[in-house]
Amino acid sequence: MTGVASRSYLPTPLHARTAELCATNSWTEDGGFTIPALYTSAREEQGALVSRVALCDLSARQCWSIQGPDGAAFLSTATVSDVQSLDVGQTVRTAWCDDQGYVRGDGSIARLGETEFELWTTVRDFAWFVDGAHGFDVKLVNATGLRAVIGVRGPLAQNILAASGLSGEPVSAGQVLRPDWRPAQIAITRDASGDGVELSMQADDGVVVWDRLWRAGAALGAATAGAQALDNRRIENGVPKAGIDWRPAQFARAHADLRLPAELGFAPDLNRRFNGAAALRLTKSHRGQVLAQFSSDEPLTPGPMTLRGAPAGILTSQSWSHTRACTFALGWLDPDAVKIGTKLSVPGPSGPLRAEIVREVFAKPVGA
Amino acid sequence: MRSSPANSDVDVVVIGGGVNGLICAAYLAQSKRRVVVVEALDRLGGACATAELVAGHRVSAITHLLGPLDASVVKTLRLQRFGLQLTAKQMATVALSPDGRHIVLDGDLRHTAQSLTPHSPLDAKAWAPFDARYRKAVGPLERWVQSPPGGPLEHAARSSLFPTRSAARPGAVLDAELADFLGGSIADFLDAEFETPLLKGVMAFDAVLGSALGPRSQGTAFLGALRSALDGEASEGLVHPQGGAGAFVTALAKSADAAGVRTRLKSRVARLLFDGDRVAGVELANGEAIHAPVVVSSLDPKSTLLTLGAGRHLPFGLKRTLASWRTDGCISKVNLALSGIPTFKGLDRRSMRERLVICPSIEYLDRAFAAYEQGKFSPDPALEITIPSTHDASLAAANHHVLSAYVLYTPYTLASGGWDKAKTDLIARVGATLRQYAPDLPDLILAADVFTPPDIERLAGGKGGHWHGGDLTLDQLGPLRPASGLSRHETPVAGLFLCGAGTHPCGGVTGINGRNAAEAVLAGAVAQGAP
Repeated sequence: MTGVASRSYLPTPLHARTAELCATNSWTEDGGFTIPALYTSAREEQGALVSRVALCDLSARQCWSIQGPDGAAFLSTATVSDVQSLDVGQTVRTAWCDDQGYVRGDGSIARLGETEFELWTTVRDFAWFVDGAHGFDVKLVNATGLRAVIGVRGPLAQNILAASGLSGEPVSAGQVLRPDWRPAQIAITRDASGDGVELSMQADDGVVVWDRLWRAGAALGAATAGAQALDNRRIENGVPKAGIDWRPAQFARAHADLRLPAELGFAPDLNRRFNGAAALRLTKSHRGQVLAQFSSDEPLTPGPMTLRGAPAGILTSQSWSHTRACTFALGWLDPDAVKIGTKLSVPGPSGPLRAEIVREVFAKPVGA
Repeated sequence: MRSSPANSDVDVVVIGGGVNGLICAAYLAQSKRRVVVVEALDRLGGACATAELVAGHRVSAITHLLGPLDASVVKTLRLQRFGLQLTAKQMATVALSPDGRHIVLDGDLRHTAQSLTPHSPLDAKAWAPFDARYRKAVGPLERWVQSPPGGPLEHAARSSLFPTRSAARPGAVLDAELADFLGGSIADFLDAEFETPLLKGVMAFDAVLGSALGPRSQGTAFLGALRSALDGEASEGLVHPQGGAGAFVTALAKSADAAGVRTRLKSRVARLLFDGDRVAGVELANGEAIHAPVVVSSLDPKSTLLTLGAGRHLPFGLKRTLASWRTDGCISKVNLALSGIPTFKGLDRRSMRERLVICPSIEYLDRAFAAYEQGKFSPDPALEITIPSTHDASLAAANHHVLSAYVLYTPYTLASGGWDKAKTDLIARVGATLRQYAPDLPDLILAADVFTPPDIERLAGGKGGHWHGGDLTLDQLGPLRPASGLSRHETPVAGLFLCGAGTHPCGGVTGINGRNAAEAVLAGAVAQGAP
C-alpha cells in the first residue's frame, strides 16, 4: 500500500487468485484498486515475461465504454485519433488534449462494433469525456472494475491460450473468444507493449478463466507478474506512463510539465477538428522535449541530468533489468542533447552516475 | 456581412427581446443590418416591465431602477426622442436607521459626512479622504467595465486568485496589490476603514446585491468596486423612467423599430442551424427556419451554448465550464400598493424619492446570507426600496403610492416546502421589517405581490431567475464571463455571439452588454472583409 492507513482500496475481480499467489504480500495501489507489486521475486517475474509466459491482473486500468450513433464522431473529436476511419476490431493508441492542446491523457481505443467502443487508459479522466459528450448522441459508462482483465505476457502467450482451449489459432485485437467450457465472451484487446495479449471478460468469469490459464501454464513454466515486473518491461520497451514520466495537463504544476502530443509520439492531422487542434495549429513549430531511453550499469535514481556540467534534462523512471543485467530508464531531453551514445550524469547516492542514451523513444511519431 | 449569402433571410437574428437584445439589435440596424429579434414571450423587455398591481396602481414588476444606465446608449438610440423621460436620475442611496439617523450617499461629500457625524465623528472625517482613495483605485475599472476585457486582467482570476493548474499557462501575470483587492471580502475591506455599522451595512449591501455571496465571501470587495465603476462618469446613474421600467422598453422598441428591426413575439428558438462549424440561423419551435449568417443570443450563456445544439461545436473545457455556470437567482421582488404615503422617521418627503436601503450592519446581512445558504430566507431580510410614485404620478392615483422592494436573500429552491406557500410568509416578513422604519406602513397596504426567483425566471425568461444571467462571482466575471475566451461576446462557433446579462460586465440595465455585442458583430464583419 502507499502508507496511508486510513485509505481503503478496492479489490479487483481477480483478487481471490492474486492474493493466493502473492507470496511476498507486497501490494501497491493502481487507480484505487489494490494489486500485487511483487508475487515472488523480480528475477523470477522478469524472466517469465521475457523468456516464458506470465499472467498478470490488469483489471485496475480505467475502462470506459462509449456507445451510440455519434460514438466515432465523438471520439474523433475528443482524441487526436481519427476514430471514424477505424475498422471494427481495430485498436489505436491515442491521446486527448485540453482546449490549449496539452495532453490530458493517453490510452488505447478499441472499436468493438460500428457504434461501440472501449477506451483503456491509466488516467482517471472520465468526467472530462462525460462533460465533452454534450451535443453528441453517445452513452458513456465507466466500466472500470466491472470487467476482469488478464494479461498473458511473454513469448509463450499463444501457447498458453492453446493449451487452455481458448484458441489454437493466433489471436488478434478485436477478436472475441467463446470457450466451450464456460458461457463467457472473452474480448482480445491489444497489448500496449506488444509482447502478449490481453483478455477482457465479465468480472464473474475472471477467476474461472484465470484458473484455466494457470493450470494450462504450469507445463510451460508460467509465472505471475506484478506491477514492478510490468513496469520494468514498460521501461525496457520505452512506454511512458502518465503520472510518472509525464504529468497530465490537468495536474500540471508548472508550464514545463505540460506535454504536447508530439512529445508523446503523436503526429495528429491538425487540419482535422479535434479538441485542442486549433491551439496546436498555432504551436506546431514548437519542438518541445524529446523522450529518450537510457541504460546504465548501476541502479539510477529519477532526477535532473547534466551534460558536461550543464542541465540537459530529467530522468523520470528507471528499473533494474535482471534479464539484461543493467538499468533501463526513461527521461526527457532538450532536442539538441539527443545523440545516441552520449553519456549524461545523474546524481547517485555516492556521486554522479553515468546514463547512456540508447534511443529516442518516439523517433518516428505515428499519425493518429 | 452586409451582403448576406443568397439563402439568408436576414443579416442577424437576435435571440431574446430583453433590454440587451433590443439594444444590440437597434445598434446593428443603425449600421444598416437587416435584423430580426425573436422573443419567446408575448412581450418584449424581459425583466423590465410595468404591471398593474391593483386597479390604479402600476409598478415596475421586477427591475425597478435602471442602470447605472450608460449615457451613450441613451444618446445613440435617441431614446428620449422615442418617449423616454426620466423622473429621477443620479438617485442617492439612503441607508435607513430605525431612529431616523439615516446616512445619505449622494456624491456630496459634505452631505454624507454630515449624516455620518451622529454615528461617528471619526467616520465623518474619514469619508472624504476615503472617497478620494476609493475613486482613484476604482478609476481604471471604469474603463474596464465599458469594454470587453482582454487586456492585462485577461489571466488575472485564473492565475493569481485561483492558483490552479492554469497558473502554469504562460502570460499569467497580475499586479499583487490589485490581486489582494480583487480577492478580499467587502466586510474585511470596510472593517478596516470605518466603525459605523449602518455605513458598513449599506456599502456591503451594494457590493453583494445580485450575487449569491455574503459580505464575508471572498471577492465581494471587487463586486463593490465593480458597482462603483459602473456608476462612473459615463453613466446616468440609477434612473427611473416615467411609467416604470416598461416605459423604457417601449422607447427602446420604438428606437429599434425606427432603425428597421423586426420583432417577432411568441417565437421560441428550438435550436441553432449550422453550416459546417458556422452558425446559419435559427429554427423556431414551430419548425420555421430563419437563415442568417450571424446569430446574437441574449439568453444566458449556458442556455445558448448547451441547449440549442451548439454542443458538438465547442471545446471540451468550455463545455465543462459552462456546465457549472450558476444561474440560480437569489433576490425576490415585493411590490406594495399603498393607500397613502408612509412615514419614515427622520426622512423628509424629498428623500423618499431616493433609493432606500434597509441593512443596519454587516452582521445583519451576514445572518440573511446564512439563512440563504441553508435554503431559507431570513426573518430580517435586507431590502432595497423605492417609492416611485413620489416622483412619477403616472403610477398611482392621487395620494396613493406604490412601493417596490428587492429582498435579499431568497433561494431559488427552498430547503423545505415550496414557494407557493412561502410567499405569504415572505410578504409578512418584509412588512414586519418595514414597520420598524415606517410604523404606519403596514396599515396602508392595499395589495401586495411577490416575485420569487422561479417567478422571475418565468416572467423574464432568464434561466434561474438571476437578473445578471449568471452569478457574480470571481470565476464568472471579467475575462471569465461567461468563460475564458468568450469575454468579447464571440463564441467558438463562427457567427454566434452573446449579448445578454451573462456577458461582461454583468447584468442590470446598463446597456453596455448589448452595445458591445453589436460592436463585436460589426468588428467581426469588418475582419471578414465585409463593408
